[in-house]
This record gives sequence, C-alpha cells and structure tokens, in this order.
Amino acid sequence: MQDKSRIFMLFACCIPVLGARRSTICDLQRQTFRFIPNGLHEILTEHRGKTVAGIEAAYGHEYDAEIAEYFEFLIAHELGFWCDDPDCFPEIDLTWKAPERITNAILDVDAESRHDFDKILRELDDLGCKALQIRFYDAVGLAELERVLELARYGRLRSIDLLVRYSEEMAEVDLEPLLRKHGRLSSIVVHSAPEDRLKRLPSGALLSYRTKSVDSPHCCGEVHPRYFVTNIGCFSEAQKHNTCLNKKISVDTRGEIKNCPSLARSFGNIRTTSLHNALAHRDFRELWSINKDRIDVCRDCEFRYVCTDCRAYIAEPQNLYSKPSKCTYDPYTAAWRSA
Amino acid sequence: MILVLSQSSHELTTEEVMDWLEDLGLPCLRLNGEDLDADSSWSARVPGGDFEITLDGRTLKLAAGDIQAVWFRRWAHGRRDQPVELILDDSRERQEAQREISSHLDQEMARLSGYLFSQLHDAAWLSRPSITRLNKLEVLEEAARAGLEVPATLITTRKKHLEEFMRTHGGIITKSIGESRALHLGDYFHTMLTAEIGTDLIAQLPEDLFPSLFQEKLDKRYEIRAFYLAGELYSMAIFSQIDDQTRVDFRHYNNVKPNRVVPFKLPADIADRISRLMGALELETGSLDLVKTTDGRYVFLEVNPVGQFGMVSKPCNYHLEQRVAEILARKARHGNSPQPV
Repeated sequence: MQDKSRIFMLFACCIPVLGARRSTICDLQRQTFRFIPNGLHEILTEHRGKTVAGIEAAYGHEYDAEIAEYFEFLIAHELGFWCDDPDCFPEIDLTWKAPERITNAILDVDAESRHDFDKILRELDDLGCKALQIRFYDAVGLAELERVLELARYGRLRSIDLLVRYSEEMAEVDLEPLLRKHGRLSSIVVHSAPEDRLKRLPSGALLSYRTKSVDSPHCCGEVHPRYFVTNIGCFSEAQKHNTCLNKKISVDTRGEIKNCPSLARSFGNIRTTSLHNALAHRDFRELWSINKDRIDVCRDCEFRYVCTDCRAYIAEPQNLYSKPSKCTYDPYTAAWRSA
Repeated sequence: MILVLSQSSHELTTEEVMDWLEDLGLPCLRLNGEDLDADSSWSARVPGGDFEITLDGRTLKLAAGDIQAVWFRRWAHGRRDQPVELILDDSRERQEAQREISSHLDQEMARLSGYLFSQLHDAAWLSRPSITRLNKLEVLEEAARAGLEVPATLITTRKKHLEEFMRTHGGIITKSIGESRALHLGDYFHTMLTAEIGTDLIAQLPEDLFPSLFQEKLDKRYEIRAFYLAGELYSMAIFSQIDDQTRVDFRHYNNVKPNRVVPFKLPADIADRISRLMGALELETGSLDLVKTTDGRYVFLEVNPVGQFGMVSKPCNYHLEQRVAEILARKARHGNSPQPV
C-alpha cells in the first residue's frame, strides 16, 4: 500500500520532454531516454511537487490505479525517488556556456584542394577549437596524414576525427600506429573500403572500414537515433542553439569558409582571409541560434533536445525553418518512415 | 600573469579553467609538478633568483614579480621511478637502498617545490599549499565547534574499547586517520576506502591494536558532496543507498549504473555552519562530505582542501570552472582583498 502523502521527484538529471504523440524522459546522467505517455508527462510537470493524494484528487480519482503504476515504473527504473525534503532538490540549471569562440570544425579535402593546413590549424587553435573532423574524399597518402597530425600535436584540440578514402596505404597495420601515436585522434573512418570492419583500440580510439563511399559533403545531414546524444552538454546547448552549427566553422574543398561545407554561402576564402574575419561577419552566427523549438515539426518532437539538426538539407529549401529533409521520423504518428 | 600549478595528465579541469581565463583575456602559464623533474632543464640562483625553465625547447623565466595570482590546483612532484644504479650485490639490501633513495629524492623534490612556492609568497593564491594538508581529527573538533554534527569517533589501541564502542553504536566503520593511500602491488591497486567492521572481524583482532580510527556507521538517506568556493557553496546529493556496492563508500563506483547525483540545496543553517568551519580552518576552497541520515540529521564527515570540483560541477551543470577563473581574475587584479566579483 502506497503512502499517499508522499511526494515523488524525478532525479534532476531525468528531464521529461513532451512530444506530439508521446514523450520522453531524457536521462542525462546515464545517457539514455525512455518513452512515457503524455499523461505521465503532465503529472510530472504540471503536478510537480504534489503529494500522490494531491495528484489523484486533481484527476478526480479517475486514474488512481494508473498513477500508482506510473510511480512504480519510475522507481523501478531509478528515474526518481520518494522525497521528504523537496525544497532541497532544485531542478538542474540548463544554461549552456562555452569559453571557446569555436568549439568544432570541419575541413574538407579532395584531390584539387590546396589547403595551408598550418595556417588553418593555427587559427582554429587560437579560436579555442576542441574538435576537428577532416574529410578526405579522394585518396590521400599516409605521409600527408602524418604531416597534418604533426601540425596539430601541441595545440588545444581534444579530438580529431579523420575520414579517408580507402587505398592500399590505408591498411590496418599503417593506421593503428597512427592512432596510438596521436592521442588526440579519436577515430579514423575509411570509406569506399572492400569490406565493413570495425576495431576499437584499448585507448578507446576507433578504426572503421566502410564499403560506403563518401565522395562529397552531400553524404552528411542524416537524422537517425544512432546520432542522438543524451547528455547534459548537448541537451543544454539544444535549449537555445542549433545542435549542429552552433560554434562550428568549416572550410570546404575549395577553401571557402562556411558554417558547414554543405551550405552555399561563403564568408570568404581561407587563402585571402582568416577564420577570425569570417567569424566576425555579422551573418556568420545567424544559424547558431536556430534551435529545434523554432523548426517546424521538430518543435513537436520528443527527441528535439537529443537530436542533431541539419540546415543544409531541409524539407522546403525556401523555408529556413523547415525540418531536416533526411529525417524520416513523424512525431504526430510516432513512427519512422522506412527508407 | 596567472600561474597555474597542476599535473600533466588526467587534468581536464585545469584545461577548462585555462580556457575560461583566456575568455576573460587573462594570460596564464601552466606549470606541472612533473615539469620540475629530470625531463626538463631548469635552474634557479639563490638568493632572489628567478626560475628559468626550458620545456620542449622553449625557455621561460618565472619571475615572482610577474605573477599576480596562483591557482594551486594540484602538484604531483612526479619524479619518475627510474631505479638508481647501485654497487650493492645483496638483492635485499639493494631493494632497501632503492626504497630509501627514492624516498630521499621525493623529499628533495618536495623541498624544491616548497622553495618555489615561498618565492611566490606575495602573489594572491587560490588555496596556499601550506594549508592543503589537514588533520582529519582537528577538523572534526573544529566542525563540532562550528555547530556541525559529527559522527561518534573513537581512536584506540585497545580491543576492549573497540568492543564497547561497537556495542554502543551497533554498526561501525574504519578509515585511515590521515590521507588514504593506494598501494600498487603487482597488477593491482589496493585503495584504502571506508570499510564496515563486523563482530567477526573484531573477534579475530589481538588485544592490542595499532592506533586506529573507528566511527559509528550512519544510516544514510543520501550523501552530500559540497564544494566551497570563496564563500559560495555548491552541493550535490549522491544516492548511494540504492546500490549495495556503494552503500558504505560511494567511491566503490558502479561504472555500469552510476549512483544518481543531482543538484542539492543545503538548509541555510547548515550552510552557515560550513562557512564558519571554513573560516576557522582558513580555507578558501574545499570539498566537503556530509551525510543526510534516515532520521533527517545532517552529519559532517570530512573536508578535502583541494578537492575535485569537476565531479560536482559537471553533473549539476554549475559551471564551476568559469567561477574559479573569475575568482582568479579578481585575485590577479585586486590581490587577496575580499571584493565581490
């Protein structure tokens, strides 16, 4: 028998998010989410802090059994607790902050590219950039990879992800030592490979071979649960910012500085200007503040704070606030359209 | 210039505070304890000389006059364990000699660090290293004086007294009187965490013990880790009691299903007493451990003057890394005078 004078509290790291058809509880600590019915979302938000008896009364005692069942479910999955001192347990502050002027960058390279890697890496370092993805669409030599990584050796970057085209030089015996030598290298993905193969090193670094070819930025922009990130950093950033483009800068294969290589607009060429100058342009940050709450359909989706966004490939190219075109989820039916 | 004293690895917090210092436009220099050992080249002339350190081919001068503030994050004088060449033949003697020499060299490095710190005496420090070694027993006395409840504690060499203590309190725990250490033996790290003591174990003990510390075992509702930072208190509740592995000491971490940790607001009277305690201990920073008991009492356990604040800052989204940078900036500008940021 439940004590009806008790108050149930969600752990502050478990945050309910309302969707059109169903809701989620996003567990920012254990980095996962659970589906809950919208009725339970209402109990957890509108009736937050009330006793069980108070909640039962609010629904005219019509759903006493369901309410008891809900709380059993939440306790069993360690999403909350019976709380004697609710004043001591504030909600988590979702303010997002970052000291870096740029947190992440994409650098695209093909056979025709003539990038000055030294200059680009120095400028990224000065902007405080922490994560860099370099995408080689065409074959690249091992010596060239080594040269680029050496340039990044003493900087402030925390992680480098490489995407390279398969060639004989991209064998496991050559790439593994590279991953071991450069602690900042978190992954190497080899595209257009003869077979799909995946290896995780003891350090956590990833070496992956994929048969799929990645020959242009058009391969990006996919929306899929495997790209969901449920943690406090991304969830809080998503409250007010774009989950892909915020504090991102990119240099495309021709050296054009953009928010993302897939977008058309350039803020100057890296040969004639600097990343700093491009960043100073008043329009450069325009897309950073397009959060999911401002995007059609996404704003009604229960995944909106754990999902990646894409502003390059959108459902209606003329409408900057339309949903990502590569997303196949419909929050109104709670179903993924099979591709 | 702000000097950051730290260690070379496992120090994300140091980097984050430095990023915030850069955001505030304050130049800073990081020196790791390991930078003073044989891998770098450096020299200092006494008296009154500046430190000259060459690292990765760059020479920098550490002149006391250029340093306005020092952040004492941590300091591992990590003399790497290269064995010294010895002429002794006997293997046991060799082992002993290695140990003695190693401890002597550690002491030499500690003296050297002490000299470096004293040369920087006039700078404003965020936690002076001289106060980072506290005596747990003195702290318990001081906490009780500040009005905080502390666990019943016995230090004894007599099994008889331990048995009496056990009878009075039902359950008891033991932990070290000083800092706990990790023993690295073979492939294993043996850590000295808090452990519960049962009657079976007590029965096996000799009549005379090495002086050991025992405390009543508290029935926890949850545990509280509070980070005190220049007058502000940032607390977190740890639900260690749902999981058997973490009931006695939450540092027996369950990595698969980590204990729930959430922002917590201590009642004002407890927060006041903590401020009084930190004032009495002359600490500007500290990580405090408390327990909320099942019968609703707040019991103070201990305070670590340096303390990991990342473990509170990250899950509670407190952004303490930025706050530390702001306080360092204030110190660099105004010295130690207590001005609000």
